[in-house]
Amino acid sequence: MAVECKIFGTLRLASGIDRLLLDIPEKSVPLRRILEELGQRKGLDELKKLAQNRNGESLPFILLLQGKNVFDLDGLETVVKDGQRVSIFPPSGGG
Amino acid sequence: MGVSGKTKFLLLFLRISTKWQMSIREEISFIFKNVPLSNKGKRRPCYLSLPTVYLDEWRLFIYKLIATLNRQRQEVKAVALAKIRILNVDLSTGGTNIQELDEKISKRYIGGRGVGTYLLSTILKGDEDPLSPENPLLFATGPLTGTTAPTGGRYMVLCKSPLTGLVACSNSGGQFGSELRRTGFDVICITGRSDSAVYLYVTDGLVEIRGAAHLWGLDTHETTDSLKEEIGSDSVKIACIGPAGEKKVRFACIINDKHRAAGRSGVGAVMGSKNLKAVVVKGSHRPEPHNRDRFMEIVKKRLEILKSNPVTGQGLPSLGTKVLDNIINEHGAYPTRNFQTGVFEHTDEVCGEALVEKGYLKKNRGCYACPIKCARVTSLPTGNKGEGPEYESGWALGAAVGVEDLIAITEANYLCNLLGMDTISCGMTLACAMELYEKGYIKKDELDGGPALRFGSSEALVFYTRQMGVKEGLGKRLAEGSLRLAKSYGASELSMSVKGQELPAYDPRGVQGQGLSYATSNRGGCHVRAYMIAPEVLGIPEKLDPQATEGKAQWVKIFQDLTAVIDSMGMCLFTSFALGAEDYLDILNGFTGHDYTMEEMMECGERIWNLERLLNIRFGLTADMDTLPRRLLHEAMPQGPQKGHTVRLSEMLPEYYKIRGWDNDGIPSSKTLERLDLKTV
Ligand code: SF4
Repeated sequence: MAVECKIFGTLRLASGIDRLLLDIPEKSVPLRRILEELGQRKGLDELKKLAQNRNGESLPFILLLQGKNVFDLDGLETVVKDGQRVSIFPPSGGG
Repeated sequence: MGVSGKTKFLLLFLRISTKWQMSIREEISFIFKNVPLSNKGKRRPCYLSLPTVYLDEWRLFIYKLIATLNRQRQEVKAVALAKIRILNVDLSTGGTNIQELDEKISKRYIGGRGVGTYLLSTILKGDEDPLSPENPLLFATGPLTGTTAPTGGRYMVLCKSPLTGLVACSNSGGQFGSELRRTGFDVICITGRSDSAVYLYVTDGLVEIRGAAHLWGLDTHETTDSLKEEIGSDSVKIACIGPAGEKKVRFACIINDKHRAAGRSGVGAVMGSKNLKAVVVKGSHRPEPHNRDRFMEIVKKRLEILKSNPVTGQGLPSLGTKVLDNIINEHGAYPTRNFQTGVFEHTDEVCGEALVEKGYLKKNRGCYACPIKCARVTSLPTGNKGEGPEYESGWALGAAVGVEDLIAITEANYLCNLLGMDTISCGMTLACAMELYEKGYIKKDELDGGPALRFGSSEALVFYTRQMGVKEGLGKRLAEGSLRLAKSYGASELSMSVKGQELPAYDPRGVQGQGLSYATSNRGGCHVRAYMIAPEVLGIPEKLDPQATEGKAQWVKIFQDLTAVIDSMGMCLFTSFALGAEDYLDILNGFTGHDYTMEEMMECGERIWNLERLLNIRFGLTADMDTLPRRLLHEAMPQGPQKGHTVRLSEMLPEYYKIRGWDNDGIPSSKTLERLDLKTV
């Protein structure tokens, strides 16, 4: 399956990646898997750490699946399906 | 300098006078009270006026002398637990005096926003015209302003708003607030109206009212540069108005240190209505903590927290507030084309990341004592330089008007700063005008030959921004703000405002609690009274479901109260991304030497909130004004992740009133007033 990943903020500046299409053999995977995959890339190692951190849910990363915050769904276990869009933001604030 | 003639005469009197006042217009006049006329101890007041043309040579000398005398007479020391000192200036008479606030009041209202609101409540009866001499203009610092507390450089400007007719209370950073505190005054309260343009020059315990005819008409940068040159010092700090304030644009702001703004609710128009062009401050008294060592320890610990927190230590310094463009847009709550939708298809072009990638961002900069440094220093390929855009400004002059041209957005932002206009109200008034035009209300011949008011037109953006600021052509009508504009066409529902103030950059159809926060904000459409985006979107301090309404009333109340505390202390709200209520309590007690408990501190916030509410009621506020534009309540979001949603305000508002201890009409019950010591207001 193919998942569109959009990277923002300091992660985007550090990795130079703004979006990429992730090809995964499975039909659906938990978000944690996607973060692991992305975490292999230069500048995105923080995502690997996030995926490994079992209590990572409390970190204020903003992870949206189809515009919905996964922490309002099943957190890192939220199931991602073919053709969906994941947006990833490092902890951010402003106003 | 040699002393002879008139000077000698003057000195003679000065040396023996015990009380004096002075003012400067075309002439300098001294009023000495209690001047002993002979050795026999006979005393009477003495008035002395001299044309200013004589003064060139020895004016400075006299000022210096007066300053010395003054310091001897009045210990101007901003020590902890010292009484809050208010400098009253009546521009109608030129009279000044110093007032000390009762300690009980200071403790009850903390300082800054709280004390300022208290003072407003003692001055304003309710029916005053905001642009009349009766409306006071207050510059208020908090106990932490000018200290080493992280972001301890904030101050508040308060008055009755010409935009909303309600309390205006605008916060700003930069260096002005901390310098004001160092003059030994905590608050400057300006009343009356000067006959001619003037500026205030406030130094250690001293105030001068100086002519400013030569500055009238200058933009905020020119004014700041001219004043520094005239005074001959680069270290004075200046807050001033631009042409928009002079012309009383209803959302004119006050700009300090060239780039920081007390932005909202038209405080600049009130300053303009007083013929007051600028306030210049220079002081040398460092506010002393109650216990220096302990305070330093408290500060050090909080600095570490702010540095290691990913938001305040990394996100804000590197991308500034504009990191939010994509977050809010991806969330589907990025108000686009006057809130017609919540997704802007060109966000990639205008976002914070683009500002970096296009090379417009040069560096970040911070306000006084700020470790976060979220301000953007930018320069454009056109050669223009400045600060900004921040998230709100970039949005108001971008997505809100459908413009995707980052250069035009930044140029319009620079223009707002130069002319002295609130970017949010400016952009959103323009957005309203564009919708009025596209829907056929504003006719082509009303444009006075200006470009078509179409969404997405960068030409229209820059053209009408200038026209608003100088009140020319259609700009005259735009300068009244979106509500008055839309109303004049019989289409008030197209003004995206609450209580007459334009809404900021979050569509509450995607963030329910923020909707309640907008509807109940004491200064109308505003995001910094309870920033519910933090828990509902950013997950700080914990993640709340943005579409849930349950429990939001309680969150909004706590945020409103805590924000009132932070504002009153003189710190920046952005610290709250990393710090919690306990941290503020520690800092507040550590500096002042007070022994607030957590309950007492939060009660201060609640008291301030309720006093603002009471003042608003005095100004004519009714419960039906605690609402949102019809579009947000009844038109479902047409697309994106929040598609189909409206704001379910009726599920939250009654609960909010109840938690606040207000009756069904939104009026604080007498029990609530008693509990908060507000019975006498
Ligand atoms: S966080 Fe930003 S706005 Fe707040 S004090 Fe620091 S630089 Fe100024």
